[in-house]
Amino acid sequence: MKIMTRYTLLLGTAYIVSSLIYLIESMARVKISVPQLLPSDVGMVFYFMTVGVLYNYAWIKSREEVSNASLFIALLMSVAIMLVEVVDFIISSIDLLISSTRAEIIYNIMRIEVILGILSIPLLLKMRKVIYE
Amino acid sequence: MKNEELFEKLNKLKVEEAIEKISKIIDSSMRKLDLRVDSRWLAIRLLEDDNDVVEKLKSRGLESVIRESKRIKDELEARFNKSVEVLMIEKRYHYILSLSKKYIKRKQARESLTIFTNKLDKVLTHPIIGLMIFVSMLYLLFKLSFDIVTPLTGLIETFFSHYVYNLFKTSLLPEIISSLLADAVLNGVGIVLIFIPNLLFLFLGISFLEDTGYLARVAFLFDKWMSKLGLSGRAVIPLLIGFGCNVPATMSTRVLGTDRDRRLTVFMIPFMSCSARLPIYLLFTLAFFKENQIIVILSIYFIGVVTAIITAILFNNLLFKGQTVGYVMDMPPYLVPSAISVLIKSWERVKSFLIRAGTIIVSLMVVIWVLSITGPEGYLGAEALSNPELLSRSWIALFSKLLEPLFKPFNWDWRITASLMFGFIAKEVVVSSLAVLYGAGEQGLPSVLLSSFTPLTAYSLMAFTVLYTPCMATVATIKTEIGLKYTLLIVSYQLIIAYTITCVILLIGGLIT
Repeated sequence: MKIMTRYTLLLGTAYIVSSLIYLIESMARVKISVPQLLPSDVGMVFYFMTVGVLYNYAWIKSREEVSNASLFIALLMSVAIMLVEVVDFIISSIDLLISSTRAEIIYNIMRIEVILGILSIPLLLKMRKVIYE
Repeated sequence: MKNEELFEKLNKLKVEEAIEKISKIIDSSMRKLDLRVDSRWLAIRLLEDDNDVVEKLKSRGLESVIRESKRIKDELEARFNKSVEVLMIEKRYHYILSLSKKYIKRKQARESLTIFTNKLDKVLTHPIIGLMIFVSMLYLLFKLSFDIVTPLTGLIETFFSHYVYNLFKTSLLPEIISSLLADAVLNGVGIVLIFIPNLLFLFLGISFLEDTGYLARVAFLFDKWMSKLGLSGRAVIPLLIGFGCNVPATMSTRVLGTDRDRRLTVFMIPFMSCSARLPIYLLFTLAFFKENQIIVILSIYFIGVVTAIITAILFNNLLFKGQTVGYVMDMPPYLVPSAISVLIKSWERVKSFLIRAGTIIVSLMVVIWVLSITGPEGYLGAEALSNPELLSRSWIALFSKLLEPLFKPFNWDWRITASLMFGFIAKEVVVSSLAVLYGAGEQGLPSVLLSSFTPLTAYSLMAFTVLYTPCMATVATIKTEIGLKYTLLIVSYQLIIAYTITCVILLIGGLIT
């Protein structure tokens, strides 16, 4: 349980930090980090913030009942955004195949939403056990 | 066997016996008249006292059948001390129950799952976190249905506007026929098909959220605010989808429970500025408001939203007064949606758009095509569609010139009116029409507009664009969703509102500048 809580905090912080870096970048019009490690647009920033807030809410409320529910929603949202990115990647591959650039493919695979989404899956499976058993 | 079960079995047998007896009588009488009717169905209708059937049998001189069935019915009722209608209902329910017992396997909802549903509700209906989750979900829905499908819509567009279009254009058919097929029919079909990927993905998303039970929570979250407009919380979803495209937004009003809610929401949707109107704002803000582009565009969106709210309050008090019904909210338990159910639901919605709105769009395209290539002088040739000089002699130009005095106070010439008329086909067309009519490429258009507009007239045109009639795909969808009467009302109301607000903007702007 302790590991799960730490993991939750780590994921939530990752979401929030990447959103903040994006916001600072776009406001200051400077490039701070590798672009693919950031959300792709302002809408995504909001999504990231929500997911991050949910993870942290789950961590803060870890002694209360709503913690599991909050964590479950955050996990689902992480996986959903990862899936959307993957579908987006597959569909836009139609274009990529025509312009064929390996860098763009790697760029899409390296996106932070996919990485965080994959990192959330083990936690989601663990949560599933908590709910159903 | 329990007494109850024994009684049920006896009831079933006796009812079946009665149906059999009447069927035989019907069969023998029908044979004489050489009529082919399902005698069992007729027997059931007679036992249930279907007036229509009784009248029809009387008209064919079959009073004896009616008399005999009446006697059997009375006998049955006397025996069970119940009306035959009740006996029939019992029999039907008995049959349904036996089938469901045989084929439906229910999982017992575990108590822990119910508790978890309640915990989820605490987060999803939380006034702040719940709202954040909803906006994020909406973002995901938009991303799915507008961003992700862009390559697919691009493929459809390229296929129709290049390959098939050129195929028709370079065919050996007479010019008028090839232009009719390419510029009218094909363009119409293209406009319909181009929406399919957006619609399909959007409906997949909505159906998924609907089947999980999340939409009911959204309704709860927004109910307090929307009730002030006389609407249920659910109406917020179609309204927000309207910012992407008014067509799926109009269709998604199907998730609303009552006709009244659907109509009132549909009245508001066209004021939600769809993404197709954005190029118009971008063009004018680029030319006139380069420094404050975002603020100006946001103010246009704001005008649309405020007008939508005023519209809701107005029609709620005028047209739908006293029709507000108490909204009983049902919070279904969270479920994992069935893929087949989601797919079927989405496909049904898309199919309905294809068949109903599609036919209207293609027919309207043909009408506009005819009005563009003909004029008072007769046939102008298909090249009128790309030649500003020829187009200025068409019926479309003539109508635009007729309307010109109406827009004289706005300082708009006939080319603007014509572009707005073309905007009825699709809002995307407005910019390209302006380019054709002003004889400038889309790149050079901003500089041409600078010499024909002032910042105030440009702003008023943007405001008019957000408020006036939506594209014909939306109008066709509105017609199929809420009927012709309300569609005509929306279209005329929007034109009046657009004209009035543009006047107000010019008046206030004139006083300030």
